[in-house]
Amino acid sequence: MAAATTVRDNRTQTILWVDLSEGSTRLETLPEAWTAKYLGSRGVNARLLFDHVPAGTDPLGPDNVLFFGTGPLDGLPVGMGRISIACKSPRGTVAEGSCGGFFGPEMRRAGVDYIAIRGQADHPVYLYIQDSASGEVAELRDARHLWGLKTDETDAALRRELADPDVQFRYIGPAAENLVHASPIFGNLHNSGGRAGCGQVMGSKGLKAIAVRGTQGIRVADYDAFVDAYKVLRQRLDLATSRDMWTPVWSTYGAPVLARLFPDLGNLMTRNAQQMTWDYDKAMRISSEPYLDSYVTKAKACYCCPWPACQKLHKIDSGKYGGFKGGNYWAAQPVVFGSLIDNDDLELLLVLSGLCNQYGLDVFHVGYTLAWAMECFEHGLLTTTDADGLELRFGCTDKDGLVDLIPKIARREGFGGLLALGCAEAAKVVGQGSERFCLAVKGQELEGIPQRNLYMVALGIAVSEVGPDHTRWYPPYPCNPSLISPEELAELGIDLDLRLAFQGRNPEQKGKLLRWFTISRAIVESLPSCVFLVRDTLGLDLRPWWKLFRAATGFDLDYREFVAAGERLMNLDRAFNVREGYRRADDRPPVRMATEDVPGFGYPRLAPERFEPMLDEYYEANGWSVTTSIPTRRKLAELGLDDVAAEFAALGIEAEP
Amino acid sequence: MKRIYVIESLCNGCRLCETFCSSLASGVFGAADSRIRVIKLPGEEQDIPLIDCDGRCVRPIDDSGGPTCVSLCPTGALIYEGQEGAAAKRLELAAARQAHSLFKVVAPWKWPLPWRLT
Amino acid sequence: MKQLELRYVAHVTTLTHCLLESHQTTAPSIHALVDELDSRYPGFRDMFVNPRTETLNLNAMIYYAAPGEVPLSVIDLDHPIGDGGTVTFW
Repeated sequence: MAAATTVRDNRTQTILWVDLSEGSTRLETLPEAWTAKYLGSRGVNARLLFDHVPAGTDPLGPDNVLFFGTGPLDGLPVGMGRISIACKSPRGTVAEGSCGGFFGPEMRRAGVDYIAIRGQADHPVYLYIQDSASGEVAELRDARHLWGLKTDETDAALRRELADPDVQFRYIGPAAENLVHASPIFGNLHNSGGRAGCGQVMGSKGLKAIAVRGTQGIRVADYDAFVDAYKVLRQRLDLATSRDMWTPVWSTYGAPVLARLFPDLGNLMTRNAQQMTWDYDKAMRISSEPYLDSYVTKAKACYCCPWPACQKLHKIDSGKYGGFKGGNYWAAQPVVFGSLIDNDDLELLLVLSGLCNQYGLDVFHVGYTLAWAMECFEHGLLTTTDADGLELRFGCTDKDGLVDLIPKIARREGFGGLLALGCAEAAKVVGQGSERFCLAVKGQELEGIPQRNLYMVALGIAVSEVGPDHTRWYPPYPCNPSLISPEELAELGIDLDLRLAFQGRNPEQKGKLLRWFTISRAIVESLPSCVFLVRDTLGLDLRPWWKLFRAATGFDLDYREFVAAGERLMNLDRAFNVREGYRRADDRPPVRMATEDVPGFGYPRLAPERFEPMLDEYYEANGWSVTTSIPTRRKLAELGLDDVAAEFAALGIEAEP
Repeated sequence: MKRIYVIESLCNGCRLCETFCSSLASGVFGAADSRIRVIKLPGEEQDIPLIDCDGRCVRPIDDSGGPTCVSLCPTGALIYEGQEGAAAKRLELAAARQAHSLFKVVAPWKWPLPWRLT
Repeated sequence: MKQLELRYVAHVTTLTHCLLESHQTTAPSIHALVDELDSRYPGFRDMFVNPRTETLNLNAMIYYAAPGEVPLSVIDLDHPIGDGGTVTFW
């Protein structure tokens, strides 16, 4: 961080419009009222996306707009460096994802709160943003020498080119350049976001990277109040004082320890979720303890995170993969490159994950599509001839073959070309009933959390406007119920029976729980801050976040107005999808979960009689049509979204009163 | 006499120290007068706090008697000690790391739960 | 005499220095088991039991699985333990 030359306020937000077809940039100021109505980041992105990407826009064409959004808490010690990335997905839905690291604060210190990219460059370019206070804001630079580079190579090349250790980057790898399904956007080497479609869109625009450097300071409206509010939040999150049972584990070892709990609970997706349990010995081999013992080299963190080691760097010192470096072994990889494909070789797992990061691939896409292909092999629907000689079996005996496959997926070469489509589209190519092996919703692969044992998860996956995305309602369980009383819930305006909501396989209260979870996470992601820190009661009681927002911006919102901003976002996302033709019928579990009981545990399938009432409860609680899922006119009016109601009317979309 | 010592291997690069310090005098985050700066080496493989401060904090955040940066550091990479105290902590860290890999990522003095050497 | 499998996850291994072990005990409850393990691993009781309330610490977790059963999260430390059970400490 270099010395600040100017100081910016924290009420107004700016947006840099970039037209890659024209090669032009333009910095504008957003209406100050937006900070109160939408907060920032994901909330403002939802508004911008609805406003600027009309129904029917070609997602891979010049008229799609890719938004990068910071917000009023970014660059402050509670924003955790989060940014929201949003656009229309090539699958047709909203595509929104967030990531941490250090890019967001740098944007804010450059005086650029949002970047909106439209058009398409006629040759690869990168965007270089410097401090708006110094006049020259943004420049499009030739990126032909960067096109084709892996993410780590891109990071190194840009670092050398710009010769400033504090420039921050976001970039795509070869996979997104080749418009591979679900490619995310990467930065700070091991952070990524936007697997819902944002990387592909960035690739379609010929935009290889964004570099940003800022030197402004951020003045909060009331510093003393901000520090007081920070101390309250920090006390709730700090390892030493947190009341949450997961804090000691998550802040050091991380999520792979779930491999030691999930198998016995029937929660671990194994062999493409044909089973939901795994050998305990195998699970132990890929848990966090051997990872920390043998591979972790140091702790890493996002900007101002209060936890010591949510992120980590690792290195394989010797053996077959000696010298291989990577980072951030977390919840996805032990499932997608572990139990899902029945691999218990931790080093192979780390290499597959690391190669996905380097090539710019989404680990969920690759893992679930590999698992789909392995199940196809079991049934003779795919053969070694189809797979370029690869024996694609659960248990992963052909390790070299798997490792070699990753770059082929990124480059759409040979068998990699089929896998690059993602399992939903690949199943359409292969046909022959392979669709039932595809674990996806709205064309997007699942994540790692079980559905038939946790009904809120099943509902949350099915209704998510971007496709499966657990961060929209994380964590999959309410906090310790003894930490918050029914009276306090009522005081907070939350209509919920926490006891019933807690019962995993009871359909009751799941709709209401999910409503609150999605609204509260929408708020946290709009500040922005990190939904992983929604621990203890901080996912139910948002008052600590509200106090931070008020102190940071000076906006005197009351608590109900603050909460309404989150609900506004959820309705804008739903409206975007409605406008694209999505309805209730699209909100459903994958075929396997809907039609197969969990073997060995007897957890029943998510048949309509179990699933549909939860959907009814969710839509009703949200004020959406139970028949169609379209937000009612009353709900839209309540949220001040009359323009959305008017647009529905103009497009002939029937919205109930 | 106490001063701030840095244990580089524990720094996770979060920049909480730098961000808060920059605000203590002016109420502006990112202001020019931060007395600690974390540089990140290329490849993100090393994060190095560089201190230009005598340890007498402009605005301590708690009653620990130490500066704000030390109080806020999540891993324990910053310590506020006299020379003997610093030596004792370095030895404690080395012994802890010998005993258990958890202390690759957090200092024993930041770890709030019971633990023991083998 | 009951035969148990004890599993130690993540930071619990900083006390036990092992991931799992077989354990024979006459302890009737989780609380008694924790006390017993405390003599082998000093600090074990403090990690799991709030000394003031004698209840499970808010930042700790224990799962108990009776033989052939799915593990359940234990909140009440008087939860009985049976022969062949598995106890997972977080």
